[in-house]
Amino acid sequence: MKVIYHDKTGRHLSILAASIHLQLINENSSKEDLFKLPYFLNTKPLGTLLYMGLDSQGKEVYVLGRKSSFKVIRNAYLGMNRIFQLNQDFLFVDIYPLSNLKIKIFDLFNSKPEKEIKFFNLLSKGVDQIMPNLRSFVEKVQHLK
Amino acid sequence: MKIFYSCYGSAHSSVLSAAIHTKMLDTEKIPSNQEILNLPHYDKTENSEVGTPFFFGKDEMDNEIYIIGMRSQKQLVLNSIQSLLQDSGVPTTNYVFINTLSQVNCITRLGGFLSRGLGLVNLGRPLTIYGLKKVYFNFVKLVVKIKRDLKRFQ
Repeated sequence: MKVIYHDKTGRHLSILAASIHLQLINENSSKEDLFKLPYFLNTKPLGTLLYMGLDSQGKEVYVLGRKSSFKVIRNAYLGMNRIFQLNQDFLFVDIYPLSNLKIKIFDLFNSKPEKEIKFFNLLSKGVDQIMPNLRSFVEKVQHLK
Repeated sequence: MKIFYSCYGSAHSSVLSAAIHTKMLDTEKIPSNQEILNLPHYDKTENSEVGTPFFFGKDEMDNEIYIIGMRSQKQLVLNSIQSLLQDSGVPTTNYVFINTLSQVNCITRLGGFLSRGLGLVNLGRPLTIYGLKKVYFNFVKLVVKIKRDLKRFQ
């Protein structure tokens, strides 16, 4: 199974969710640890499916930045799965509803990933607020069969 | 090889291009309104179905022809599909995506918006057909070029 954590950008929240899922970070991790995670604030083209690792149950964990095109991409993935006989099961996990105002403002000022990061503190504070909820949310996802 | 003709909603220009490719439509003469209307999927794809690739037919080289809608985020959706296929080990030589939206004029865009976007089918559908017929041979040119390239690589 492919577990795909997705949000609008695929640069922070979904990376953190996938990293919690893969136990790359835990509640004792420092903020520096979070910001050193693979693909954190990556500059890959939007829409690129990023492989993060294999979890303890053998599920492949991915991250996807999809702007507002989730339904189109989901339909496309299911169609490609059928056409190319990929024989994959997908679990799409939308992380965006967990976002908060600070992170949304950060995204607004950093809509072009290739440009220098602005207002990093906003992201940092936003992440602080969100981590407890994100952890319990990912825990539930991990227990889904 | 699998060939995906893509446009905004997989309802008009991708359908027309796929129909030319599979010889459902003549390359020498502009089709009638009825011929266009009778094409499978023409002006029928629902909003909730956009992104789903639909099989359209096979061409004389045994290539499978599909249509797919990508809304306005064409590059993002394309990146996503290509990265999924790459991750799944599908060779890039097994598929090609062709954007047909570049050939679409304002009349067809307006017709598509009225019909698919607002549900004003009686008003929008004839406009899409009128718009496509006006630039029909541009679509023929596109498909002929694609087929020539395919022959070269197969």
